[in-house]
Amino acid sequence: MSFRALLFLSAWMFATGIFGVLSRRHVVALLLSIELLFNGVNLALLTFAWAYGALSAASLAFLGIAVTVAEVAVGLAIFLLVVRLTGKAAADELKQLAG
Amino acid sequence: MQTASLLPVWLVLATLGLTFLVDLSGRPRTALRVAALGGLVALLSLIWTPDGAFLGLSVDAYVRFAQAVLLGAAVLALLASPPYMRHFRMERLAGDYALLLLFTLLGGMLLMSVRDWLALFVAFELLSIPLYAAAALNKRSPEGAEGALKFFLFGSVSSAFLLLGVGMMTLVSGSTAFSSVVVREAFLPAGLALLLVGFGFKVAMFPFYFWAPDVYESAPTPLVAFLSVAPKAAGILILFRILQEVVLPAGLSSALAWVAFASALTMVVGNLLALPQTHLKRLLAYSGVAHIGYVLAALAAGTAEGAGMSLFYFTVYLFSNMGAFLGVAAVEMMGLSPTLEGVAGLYRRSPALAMSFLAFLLSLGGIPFVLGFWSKLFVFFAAAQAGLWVLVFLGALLAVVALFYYLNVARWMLIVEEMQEEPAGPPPAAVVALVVMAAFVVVVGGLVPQVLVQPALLAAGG
Repeated sequence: MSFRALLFLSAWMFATGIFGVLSRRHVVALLLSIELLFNGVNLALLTFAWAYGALSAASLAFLGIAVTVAEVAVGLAIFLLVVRLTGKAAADELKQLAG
Repeated sequence: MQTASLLPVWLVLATLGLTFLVDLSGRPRTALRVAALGGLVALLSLIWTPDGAFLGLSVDAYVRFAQAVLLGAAVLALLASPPYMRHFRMERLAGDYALLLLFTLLGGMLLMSVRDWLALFVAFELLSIPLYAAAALNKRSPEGAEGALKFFLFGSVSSAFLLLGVGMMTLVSGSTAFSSVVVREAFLPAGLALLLVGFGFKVAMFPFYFWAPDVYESAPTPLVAFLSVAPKAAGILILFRILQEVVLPAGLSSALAWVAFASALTMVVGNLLALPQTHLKRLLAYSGVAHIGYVLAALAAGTAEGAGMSLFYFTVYLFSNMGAFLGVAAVEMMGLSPTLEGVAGLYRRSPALAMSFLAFLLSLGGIPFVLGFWSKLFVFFAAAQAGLWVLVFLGALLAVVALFYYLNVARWMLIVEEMQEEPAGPPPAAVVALVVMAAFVVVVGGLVPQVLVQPALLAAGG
């Protein structure tokens, strides 16, 4: 794949992630969108690293992957807590804090 | 020895290990005390900490001053927590809470000393992730879990932006270290904009402030007191570093105009949204947004004076804002609701608490001659020196608007008759003692501000 195609793919993943975070209602879908967002960033970093021979960006992608795992672990724990307390898994049904 | 410059970081790390062991041995309340004591020791150790650089970290007077603010915030929060957790029956979780807070503190202290983009990202995440879990600490509160979920969602989206921004900044200079070398200029504006988005979420800057009121309202109040000061101070103070060491030497001084723009919008939105609030924690959340607007004005100046003034600003903010939030914690522990109606006639129930609250509100509002007046004055002085007269004018105007909502709270506490019929519990002595101490600093510090201003200016090299 060419540099442009990879960059386009990563931009598309990033945009889909943003769109998902803004539009999806189910919390699991939100978590997946965040994953997609991070992976779009990681792909962009690796593409730049490959194109410019910049190892720094590649090592940052490694860190990014590790951090995403930690974030989603905490996020899933919070999600389970919300479901256990409210019995709801859709973000727009959670209206306790509106306003 | 180079690693000696990280003495307070080592001490916090040691405290973490010790707190973990004590918590494992089944004494969560002792764990909380160990954590507070360790934080105090680390705070004292700053006096003997030398300058130095170690791997991607480097420590000088500016870093030590910033670390002192973070440690102060953590110690205050940890000291106020045991009675709060006992009252709301969260004692079993006290150990986990202490650990999460210490991890965040460690991330913040490392973030202050980083001179390397990879280290910056890791330290930023270490600062952020434990806070999501800590916000959900009260496992019986649906609001708490929901607020934590919101905090997590917005926080992780901002982390993705920061990751991309950090990646672009490493491409700009071709190395992971902070440097003014520009190899690929095209990445510089985009990288900086992404960094601003990432940090903008953390410091609750316009337009990324909307998570703050919900999280503040639902999270345990001593944690909110910490949350409203430490991550914001860490975010703004590292932005200063990046601006001074990377952006300005690289010749992108138009970045300052963006910051000035963000400052103006943040001030306006924070103050206007604070006006109609009746819930004290939401009101303080929006007032916190407004305060970030003021301190961004110093950032927009981009000078060493600006850096020194924002160190001073956050020191003052530490006492006045944390004092106010700990006061709210005390109100909650008395069985009153933290709303305007709930605190009506607070003066009659607890004069010490109401008078301390008055001092914090005056300080946050910037009334002469309490400490907050000087911090606001000096921040705008730094902005004026850089020729940002529009910001100074706007800030002065909005400070008058802010008086409405600050003094309105004071009016309810001091003048309005109590409305809540059910008898309130006694004020919690330990928390009130902390609150009165903070109020003492705010009032007496207002008489001798130079004691704090001069070290802050010296630390920033201005």
